[in-house]
Amino acid sequence: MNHRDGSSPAPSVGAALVVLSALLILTATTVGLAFLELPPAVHVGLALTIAAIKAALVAAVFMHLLREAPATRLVALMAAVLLAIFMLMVTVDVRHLGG
Amino acid sequence: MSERAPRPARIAPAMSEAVREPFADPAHQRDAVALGMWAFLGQEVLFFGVLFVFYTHLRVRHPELFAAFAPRLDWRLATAMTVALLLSSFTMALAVRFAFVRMRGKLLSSLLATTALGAAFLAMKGWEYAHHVARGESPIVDLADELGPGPGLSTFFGLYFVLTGFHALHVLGGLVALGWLVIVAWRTTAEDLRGSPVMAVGLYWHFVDIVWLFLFPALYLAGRPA
Repeated sequence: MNHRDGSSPAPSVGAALVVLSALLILTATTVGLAFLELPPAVHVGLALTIAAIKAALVAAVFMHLLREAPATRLVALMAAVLLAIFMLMVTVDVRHLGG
Repeated sequence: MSERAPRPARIAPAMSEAVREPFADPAHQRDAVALGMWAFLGQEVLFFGVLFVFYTHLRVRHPELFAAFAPRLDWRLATAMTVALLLSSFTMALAVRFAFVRMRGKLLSSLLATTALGAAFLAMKGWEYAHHVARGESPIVDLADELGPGPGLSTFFGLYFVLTGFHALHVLGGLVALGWLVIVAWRTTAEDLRGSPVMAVGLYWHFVDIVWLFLFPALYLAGRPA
């Protein structure tokens, strides 16, 4: 687990395969859900949630964020949190405030 | 500079990852590269965030555009593109591993596989662009008779081309960086391989993959059941 011994920060072949399988299954899920008769808001919510889970998997394992130093994890987390706040405010503005 | 003299052994064999001046050891240097790349990617998040503001505005204010024109996007081709990028992220993660454990043959294979999958993505994108332009589905407006009735076909395809175009440019940039990594790995012996440059390109490549994971449902799967 520790890259400081000179080994790789990247995942093992087995772990990478598990993550790849999960990403492919989630892709099939999001395509399948897109064809269900659901309210538009539910469609957007489901698609966004699945995309966020896939992004988190890529960042945590393929980008080895889980093994990084706390400062690096904080920089990545802040980028995601600030983007979420930014998009939330934009959505409220566009939907309700005429922005 | 131009003489190809063998690089002098500046460091002890146990630390053959070339450690530059301010760093204590290879792990310290690798941590700094990772932090620097994540800070850069944070700026890229902001860049794509602004593009998604454009998207959110149109999606909320003009849902009729998505109902009318999103079905013209080929979700089957886009699913194939998604699979190509996911596979390329997998091979890129392996490349980073093989660079750090200095398995040169496997590193080269992984880098070449990643490059091929990225090129396949761009080829599909190029085919898709040509298809849309041939059908007149482009952001280009004939000012003589198409401005006036408000947002329409060219508005939706303007959004589509801007979002996917900037993403495709990022893929192209990644392919250039991957080509450079292949050349460096080809000319380097296994003992002299350095993991950090491969890791830095890998972080960028995975980020570009993540952007596509949002673009795919946002554009290609929007308004499907309608």
